[in-house]
Amino acid sequence: MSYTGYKGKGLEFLKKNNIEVGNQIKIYADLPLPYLGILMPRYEYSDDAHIVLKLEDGYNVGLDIDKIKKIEVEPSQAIKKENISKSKTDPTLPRILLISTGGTIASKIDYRTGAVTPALTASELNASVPELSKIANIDTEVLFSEYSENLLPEHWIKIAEKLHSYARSEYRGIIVAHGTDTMHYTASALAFSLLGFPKAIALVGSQRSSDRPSSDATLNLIDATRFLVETNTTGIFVVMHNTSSDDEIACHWATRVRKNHTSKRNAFQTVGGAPAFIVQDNRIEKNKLFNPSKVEYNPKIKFDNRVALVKYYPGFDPKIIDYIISSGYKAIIFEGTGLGHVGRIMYGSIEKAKKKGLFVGMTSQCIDGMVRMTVYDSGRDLLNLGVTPLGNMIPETALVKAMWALAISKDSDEMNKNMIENIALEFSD
Amino acid sequence: MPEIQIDKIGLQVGLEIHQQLATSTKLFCKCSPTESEEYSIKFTRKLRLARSELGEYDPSAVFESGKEKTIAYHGNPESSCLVEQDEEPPHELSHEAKEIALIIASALESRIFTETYVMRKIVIDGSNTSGFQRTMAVARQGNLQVDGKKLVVCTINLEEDAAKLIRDSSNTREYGLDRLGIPLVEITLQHIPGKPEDFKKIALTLGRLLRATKRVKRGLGSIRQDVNVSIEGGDRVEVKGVQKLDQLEKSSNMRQEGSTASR
Repeated sequence: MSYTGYKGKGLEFLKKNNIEVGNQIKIYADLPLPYLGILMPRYEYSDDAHIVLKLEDGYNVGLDIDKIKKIEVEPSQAIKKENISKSKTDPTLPRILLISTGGTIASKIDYRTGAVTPALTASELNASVPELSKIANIDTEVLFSEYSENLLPEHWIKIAEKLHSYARSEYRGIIVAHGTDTMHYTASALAFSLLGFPKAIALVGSQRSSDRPSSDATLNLIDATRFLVETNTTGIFVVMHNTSSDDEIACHWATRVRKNHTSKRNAFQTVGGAPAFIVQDNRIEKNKLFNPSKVEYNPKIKFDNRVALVKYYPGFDPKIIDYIISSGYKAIIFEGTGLGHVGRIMYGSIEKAKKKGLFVGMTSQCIDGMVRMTVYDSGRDLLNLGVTPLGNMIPETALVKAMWALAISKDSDEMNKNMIENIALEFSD
Repeated sequence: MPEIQIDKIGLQVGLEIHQQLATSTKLFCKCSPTESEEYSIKFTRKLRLARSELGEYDPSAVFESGKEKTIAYHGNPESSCLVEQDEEPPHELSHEAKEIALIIASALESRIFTETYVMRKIVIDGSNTSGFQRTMAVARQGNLQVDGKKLVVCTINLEEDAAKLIRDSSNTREYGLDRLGIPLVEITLQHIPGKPEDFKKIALTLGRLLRATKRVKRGLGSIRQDVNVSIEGGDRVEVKGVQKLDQLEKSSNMRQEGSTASR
């Protein structure tokens, strides 16, 4: 029996009347005529005095249990099954693999039970976005189904290993459907761990869920597919809307992209430059400045979580740094102020961290622009303490890179060398 | 065409009245609910059919979907923000609008739901940037007194107004966002037999009652009726967006002719 969200009095009432979520019910209450509808789940934090009914005209209302005189279960109406015809494959078209990891783009709501389920099976995808079958033959695979705020470096490893297993496959390119919240972290993780990957990988998300007519998922998927099929590029990209309009899709290089808005379609932006590619209605334009050098595919799929990303602010308590050191962390990435500073109150703790052998890197909370620690005394003091300036690397990219570098470096010298070397175009000057 | 004898054809009319509320903000954001033709924001979208919350496709939505038009939206930053642009989730429901809807529901002696939810009504002609109208059931089963007779008020819903159509060409349809999100109540009256002048009187009575709250908008376009007309043995026909009472009388007359002719 399903009672999603019901508790206390409400739950007791349903059990007593042998009614569960999804049942077609008839309720006699304050009106001469009964209410007819489907019992819906209740939000976790609602009271226990109401039950939620989806009325026949589609409206959801809460009915006060105390006012219910009689309640009956009606024979259940069969919910319309999605009529999905098996998609035809066209042997002349290239093959694309879509790996789904969850998030808004890959979920749909079951309105009967309120459950969110992964929705991106190949046939469903082709049914909801028929344009795709004209561009490529798409196979799909559900790797896991998590909102991206729940992802851990362990998930990056899972995704990277899955992608690695297809590195020499006949797929032209691979789409990874991903929640948008931490998509840029995953992008960076893949860029470092799958350095030189021989195909293009497009991480695609959506800012408006696919169950609404205005969803951005459709165009993001269509243009990501076109990008993989029509360009001959390799590497990891985040592929999302470039503007608020449904007209242009931007392909951002993995280590230079950031989610810069909570809700807009074009929330993802290439920091400090233009996107690598812009996909338009009838053409795909490459950024002339985007010229990654070819590197041999050399996957190193490892991450060490013992890295802290610390944003400095007026009033920051240096004891937090002491706690990080004593908790066994191996690296600290600062999001410093301006050109890359933290107040002198921090010097003692930074010194301790360096003595303990931690890597201490400096990025800027300005996000855009270069860290320049030679301009002011405080910057020079920090350099003197052994803080490593990280150029214009985005703080989140620096965090992921440090996790990766820590796992693959044999000592602190190598870690330091890896952190300042431009490995996956994470420095863009 | 032979003259129609109105009392012999079994004319039935059901009115659905949409009244904009006089609030200081829109229903789901703090934008000013003022209509203006000055637009500095422009963007374009394509809408695509999505299943309704009941897992079904709305037939009129399917019809619109076949047209695949580009929709251009024009906005003024005073009267629209990211909510109207469908770039941000809706903010908290306007308490003012809720209060007025409850006053109207009480004046119409209806049963008010103690708990209600915001629902999506799929509309993909472009008049809602999201592709659906946000609407919630406020009350059911009320009464409207017209000439001493009680008329059943079936439903009272609180919803957001749609965007204003500016232009419609073969490839592009253009809307202004200033009207989108203005709170309105939708009042559906029982389908009853009568003469065109009776329905005009019903609409007049309801209009007076709404204005008596002093909290509804005045002026052309602030109240609109959908008129459902049928005659004995004929199909039900809906005339949407009737703005003047004379048009209401005319549309019931006109629809009778239409229904008679198609019999």
